[in-house]
Order: sequence, then C-alpha cells, then structure tokens
Amino acid sequence: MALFDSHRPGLNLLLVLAVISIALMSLDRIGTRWVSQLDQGLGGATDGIVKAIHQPVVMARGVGQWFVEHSDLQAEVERLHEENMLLRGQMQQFVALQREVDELRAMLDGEASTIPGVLLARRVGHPPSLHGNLFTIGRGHGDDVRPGDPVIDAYGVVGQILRSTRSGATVIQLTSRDHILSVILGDTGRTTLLRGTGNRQLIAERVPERTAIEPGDLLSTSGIDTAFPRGYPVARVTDIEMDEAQGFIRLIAEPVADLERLDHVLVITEAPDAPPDPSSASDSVLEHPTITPPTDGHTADESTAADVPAATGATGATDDD
Amino acid sequence: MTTSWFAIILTSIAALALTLLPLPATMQVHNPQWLLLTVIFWSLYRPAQAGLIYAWIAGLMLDVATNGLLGLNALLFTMTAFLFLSLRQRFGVAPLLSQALVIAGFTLGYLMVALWVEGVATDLVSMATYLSRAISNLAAWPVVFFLLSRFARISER
Repeated sequence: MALFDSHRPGLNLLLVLAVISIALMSLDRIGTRWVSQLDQGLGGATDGIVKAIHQPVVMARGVGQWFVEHSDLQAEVERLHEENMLLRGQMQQFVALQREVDELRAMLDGEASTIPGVLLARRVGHPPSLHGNLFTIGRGHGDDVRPGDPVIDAYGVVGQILRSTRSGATVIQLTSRDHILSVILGDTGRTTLLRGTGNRQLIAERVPERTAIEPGDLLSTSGIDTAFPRGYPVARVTDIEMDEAQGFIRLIAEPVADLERLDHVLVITEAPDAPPDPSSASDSVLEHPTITPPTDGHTADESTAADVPAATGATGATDDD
Repeated sequence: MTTSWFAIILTSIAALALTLLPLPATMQVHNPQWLLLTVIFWSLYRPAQAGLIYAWIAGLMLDVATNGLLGLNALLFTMTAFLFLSLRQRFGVAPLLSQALVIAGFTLGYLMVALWVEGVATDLVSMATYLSRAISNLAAWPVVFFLLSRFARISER
C-alpha cells in the first residue's frame, strides 16, 4: 500500500464518466435500442450470477429427490404436472374465447382467433428489488422470449417480461407499482386500468359508480393494451370503496395467480396482434376464404393485422406460398 | 500486477453475488452495499489499478444486475471513487471505527442523491435537454474567452 504516492484522480476523467452516465440514464429512459442491447448483453453475465447463486437450492432439491424411494415415479409426476399446467394455461383463454367466438360467428362471418403459443419456464432466481416484484426465469432470447411478452401461471396473469437476455429473462409481476394493465370488469363489458401497488393488492380507480360489480367478481384481460391477449383471468375484486362526491368507485382486487408459490410459469411467446403463423394462417384461410386482401402487393404489417385479421391471414399464406 | 487485477475482479464479482443473494424482503433493505464497499476498499488499497473507470464499470454492472436505471449507480460509484481517491492519504491512516463512521455518513449522502436522481428520472429526457446547456457552455467558453481577452487588451491600452 503505497501511502505516500498521491493517486489523485483527474477531474477530466470524472467529468467524462459523469457525462457518459447521465447520457446513458437519459437514453435508457427514452428506450434507445443500443442501450437496451447493452443492457441485455451485460444482463447475460449478471443473470449467470443470479443463476449460480440459486444453484445450491436446485442441487439441494436434486439431492432430496435422490433419497426418495421411487425417484423415477417422482420425475414422471413432475412431467405430468408440467403438462397439466401447460394445458390449463391454454384452457384459460379458451373458455372465454369459446363463448366469444360462438357469439361472433353468429353475427359476422367469423373472426380468425388463434390460441397463442405458450412456453413453460422455471423460475431460477430473484434479483433484489424494493418489494420483491421481480424474478428471473431460465428462458431467454434463444426460446423467443421478448420484452413485453405476457407471463401467466395455471390460474391467471403473473406479469410481463421486463428484459430478456440470451439465456434468461426478468419478469415484472403485475403487483409491482410500475405495472398497469387493461382489464374487463366482470360481465359488464366495461374496461378499466388495473394498477399494482407494491404489495398484494391491485387497484382500479375512477370506475363509474353505476357499474354493476361486487366483491368476488373476476377481472380479465381486455386485450386493448395489446400487451396481453384478451380473456385471461387477472384478479378478483375484494373490496369496493365508494367515492360518492365524485360519482366514481375504486376497486381493490387480488391477483388470482398464485404469486406466493411460483415455481413454473408460462410465457406467451406469440404477440397477440402479430400476424398468425403460416400453419394457422392456412387453416384460417381454409375456413374463411371469403375475404380477399384489398391490395395484393402490400406486405402484411401490424396495422393491417389489427384492422383486418382474416385478410392478413390470407396475405400471410400467399407470402409463404 | 496481474494478481492484483485478478483479486480486484474476483472480489467484485463476489460482492455482486452477495448483493444479488435472494433474501426475505424485510432483510433485503438492510443488505449492505457490498459492491460499493469493495470499490471503496480497492480505491484505497490499489489506487493505481482500481481507478475511476473500474468504479464506473462496477456501478454499471450493479445497474444491469438490479434492473435499475442504467447509469445511475455508475455515476455515483465514479463520484465515490473520486472522493475516496482524493481523501485517500487522510482516510487510509484513520482508525477502522472512524473509517466506518465516515462511510456511514457518506452513504447517507449517496442514498439521498440516488433518491433524487430516481425522482428526476421520470422526467430525465427534458432534464437532459436542460443539462445540454453545460455542453453548450463547454463549446462557447473558448470563443468567449478569446473575444473578451481581446477586448480587455484593447481597453487596457
């Protein structure tokens, strides 16, 4: 320890680094692409650390299973459990869709609605956060997990992907204070925004007073925010606070997802409003060949997909053929 | 030289791992800032190697690891290292208890600034345009200096 050498740092370097940091903060806030790439690149290393820390837990679980008498039976049970979870996750939307499709088919000539692809992911760690509303999963870019993808469990919506690196992704839970999603209020058909509070409660403010809703009613995703597909259960109303002077009420709800015991989650990897797969597109074309695309040379992009789903299905098919 | 680099990097990764250790939420808020303390230690003990750039990279890694605002801890770590490198000859010989007290006092300031920046960060874009005046000043100063020194010389005649 060379105490008598003065290693006084240069002020220039400090200022340069300070300017770089402030620029980085602003660009991060704006959401520039190369900053998020930097975040993802370095995030791969730190996710590795998170995974390594979590390794003893995984190993302990592995050792525990070793001592179980019928360990292969155990594995079989776990496999079936995963399969069951996958199916239940897909079913959640299916029930709501079924009802809706029946209704719509009668009126229109049918609307091409596909069940999005889901991916089973295991929770691998917990990055530190103020309220513990983040967790990391073991699936990343390689499995087509993108920031903004919805995450559900067997019971309902869990949250969204916040950041995905090559081998893992960070999920923000819907109870986080930074998370808002659009929901339908029970059977009323009204939509509102449901906001996380940091603890277990979710709050929907400024709901018109005459809305026919009571404790126990289910709130499900509306699909308006284009982040979540329509029809997934989100929360159950636990309390209604009157605000008579304003003519509005405030709903307190609790998420239906089992956030306390998340071990496996499902990531919905297919964006709800993206053009459907070539395979499913050809199916929908077979079923509904009536609507032809208005302009054939026009490539299918997101805006047309939102406007004319059946038409984009047709263009998608011609693109692939 | 290479061994000290090895030690610095290894301890930094260990400190980062300690920070990322999953703890119950009530314990999490009381978890020490291991990486910050590591950076302070190395800037006292190996000032030739662990300088401002090391501190900046360590802060950036912390930002990435905790999904925070990118650059916030990088900035504060750099300023911390600058402060402790400047105070090194006085701080290094102080007894351990008073060192700990100084670090505790300093951390209060650190957390205040972090809180303030996070509050500002919701409007950081307009803040950045506001702060761009600093760069304008940088560019304008040589011009102003040249013109005014000319003027001063003329007026002295």
